[in-house]
Order: sequence, then C-alpha cells, then structure tokens
Amino acid sequence: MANVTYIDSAGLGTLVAAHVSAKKEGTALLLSDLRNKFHEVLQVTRLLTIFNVYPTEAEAISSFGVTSRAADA
Amino acid sequence: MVTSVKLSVDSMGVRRFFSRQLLLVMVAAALFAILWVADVRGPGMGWFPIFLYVLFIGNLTTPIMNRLAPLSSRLGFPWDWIAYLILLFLTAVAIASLTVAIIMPIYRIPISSYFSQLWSAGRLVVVVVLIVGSIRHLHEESRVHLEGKNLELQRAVDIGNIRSKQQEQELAKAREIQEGLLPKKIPQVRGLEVAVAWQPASTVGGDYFDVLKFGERKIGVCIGDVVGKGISAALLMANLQASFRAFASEEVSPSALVGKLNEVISNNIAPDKFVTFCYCIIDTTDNGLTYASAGHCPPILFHKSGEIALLREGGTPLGIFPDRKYEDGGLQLESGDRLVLCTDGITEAMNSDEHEFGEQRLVEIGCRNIALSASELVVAIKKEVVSFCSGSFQDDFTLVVVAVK
Repeated sequence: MANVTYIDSAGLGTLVAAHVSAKKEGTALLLSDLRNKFHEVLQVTRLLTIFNVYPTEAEAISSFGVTSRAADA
Repeated sequence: MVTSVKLSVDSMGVRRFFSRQLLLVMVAAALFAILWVADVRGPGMGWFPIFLYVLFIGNLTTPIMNRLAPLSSRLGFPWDWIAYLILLFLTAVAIASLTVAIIMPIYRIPISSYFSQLWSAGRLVVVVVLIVGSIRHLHEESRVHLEGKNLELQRAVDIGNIRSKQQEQELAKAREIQEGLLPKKIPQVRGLEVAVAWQPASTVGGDYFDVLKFGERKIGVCIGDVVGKGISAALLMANLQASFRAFASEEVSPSALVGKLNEVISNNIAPDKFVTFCYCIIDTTDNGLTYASAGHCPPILFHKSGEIALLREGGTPLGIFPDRKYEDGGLQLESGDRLVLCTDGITEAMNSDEHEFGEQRLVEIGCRNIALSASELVVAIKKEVVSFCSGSFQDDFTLVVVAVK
C-alpha cells in the first residue's frame, strides 16, 4: 500500500469487502506499508481494529500462517 | 434546436437542387460527347436540344419519380431497380413527347414529322433514363438508408431526453422523500440549542442526522454517513433512518442502539458498503453526555475553557460484522460548551490544490467562535468550508451543532 496516497470511503468499502470474503474463505487479508494518511483514516473509522496491519510486506508474508489462524479463532 | 434543424433541411434542399442541375448538365455533356464521337447527326441532335431534353426530362421526372419511388422501393434488389427504371422510362417518354412538342417549333420542324422526331429523341431518352435512373436510384437508396438511420438516431436522442427528464423528476421526488425522512423542525429542550445543515452532493445523498426529544430534559442526536453518494447511498440512508427510529428510546443506551443498528444494517448491506454513525444522548438535568460512535469521524466537544474532547468511544462502522459489541463513552457538559458533529464531507472537503479541509481547521473555527449560538456556528463553519473549496463543494455535507446554554 506504499503507493496509496489517498483513500475514500468507497476504497475502504472495497477493502472491507475483500477482508470479509477472505475471512469467509478461511484466509485473511493483510495490509502493509500504510502511509500516514491511510493509517489515520483507518484509525478514525476504527477499521484498524478489524484489519491485520503490518509495517512491511515481508513481515506480513512471514506472519501469514499465524495471522490467518488467529483471524479464524 | 428546431429552427436550426429546419434551416439545415432548407439549405440541404437548395443544395440538392443545384447538385441535380450540375449532374444533369454533366449527363447532357457526356451524351453530347458520345453522339459527337459516334457522329450521330439530326435536327434534334445539336448540343442545345440535348441539353433541353436532359434538363426537361431530368427535372420534370424527378417530382413524379419521387412520388413513385416508394412503390418500387418495397421490392427487393434487383426488382426495385428494374421497376424503378420501367416507371422512369414511362414517365420520361411522356415528358419527352411533351419536350419534342416544345422543341419542334423552335427548330421549325413540321408537325408531320413529330413521331420520327420523337423516335430519334426516344433513343436519347433510353440513354438518359439508364444513366440518370441508375445514378439516382443508387443515390436515393443511400439517402433513404441514411435518412432512416438519422430518424432512428433522432428517436434515440428523443427517448434519451425523455428518460433523463423522467429520471430528473424521479430524483426530485426522491429528494423530497429523503428530506421528509429528516426532522423538519429540530426538536429543542430547555438548556440546549440544536442547529443543523444538510446538503447532499447530488440530488439525494447518504448522509443522515436525526434529533429526538425524550421528555422535557433529554435529547438524542445522531449523525450517520453511508459509503458512497447518490441513489444507492440514499436507499441505505432510508434503511438506517427507519431502523434508528424503530430502536431509539429513552431507555436504550447509545451503545445498545448502535449494536442493534449494526445487526440490522449488516443483514441489509452489500459487502463493500458500510455506514459510520454516532449517537449521543444529552440529559440536561445533569448535563451528562453519553455516546457511542461506529467509526464515525469523531464529533468534537469544545469546552468553554478552550479545551476540546473528541468522541471516539464505540466501535467499528455499521454493516461489516453483525455481532460487534460497542461501548458507551461519557462526558460532562458545561454551560457554554459546543458539540460539533459532522460527516467526512466537511473534514475531507478539498480545495483546488488537493488539500483537505481537515479536522484541525474545524477545531480552530470552533475555538475561535465558541461564543456563537448553535445556528450561527453552523453558518460560520459552512461558510469557511465553502470558501476553502472556492465554492466547488462536491460531497454530502451534514453538520449538527449542539450549544449548551
């Protein structure tokens, strides 16, 4: 998400839909490299609490197995 | 619009007439050249009679053939063409007989040789008929085809215009209905003043606010923002309004109400939509504020002392997970405080440099204008946002201000 400089509510909606359907499929959507503005939007909308957010892509990938199990639980 | 169409048809008629004359002159010249090369001579075979024949036959047959052409055009190719040539030939022979009768006195040809003159002119007629008939038939066919297409297009445009007008009317009705869902007169309780501004981005929008009075001392204020704009957002807003009105009561705490709303909305919403929402109950007996926010941009409480508090407690937006739990937040209001609730249309309003209005600007305006009444503060904020965007405001816009007297 390093190239995402702006996100509106429709963009958040798409992410939420992706997150929900990933969860239904027994997997998870991980977000990484959020810019400040994006992070702030997630914080204000309290969506940070539902998304799995990682500082870097590598960290997101390496934690994938653990996270998806955690998300299922 | 109508005038310009009429004008263009008239000018096309004139242009068509001149192009026909040009065509006939060219046919006559070609005929004369053929006869000259073939060395055909006779009293009616000079360039002048040939031009006269061609112009007479060409021009006089045109109006008659225009009437008769639709009869032949009902047949398929090549019968339409053959029928057209036969009709043209018969018409042309009749007109040739007339033309010969006109030309004879000019050339002082005796009346007794009328039929031999007609016979020699008849050969010309056959050639003229074949050339002009073929060209005109092809021209006519493409013209009829193009005119048909043109008519089809015009109809499509007319239908499109009617439909868009109907849609506009329906949207205007939808706007009326949506405005009817919002409180027409803002309920007031002693000790508080509530003022609002609501304006959708297009005719209808996804923003919602409501103010409910519970007895003489308690008031419930809510604000909500459905993802997206326009009709889809407005439909969800109507669902939100109906659910809120059904569940809200004096006994139901904000977090309980938001939880119930979430349950209902989650079952009625597309996966890529959600609703941010905040509900506050203010009890004027002790000036206590209880609220729960579902991911809504935090309402700002401006204390008279200059301090501010953001109303962040609650949980995630409505419509994502039906079983989310929400928590109540509590704050103590004091006389002179101002509570500002808005939708992201205000904080995310953009100017031409793509800078957002932002929460900070809203905080500054609130701090600067804390002495204003609720309705004055609404006007002041709206004015600042509009001037920030240089008048080109694009989003749904909702603002609720509660002033503690």
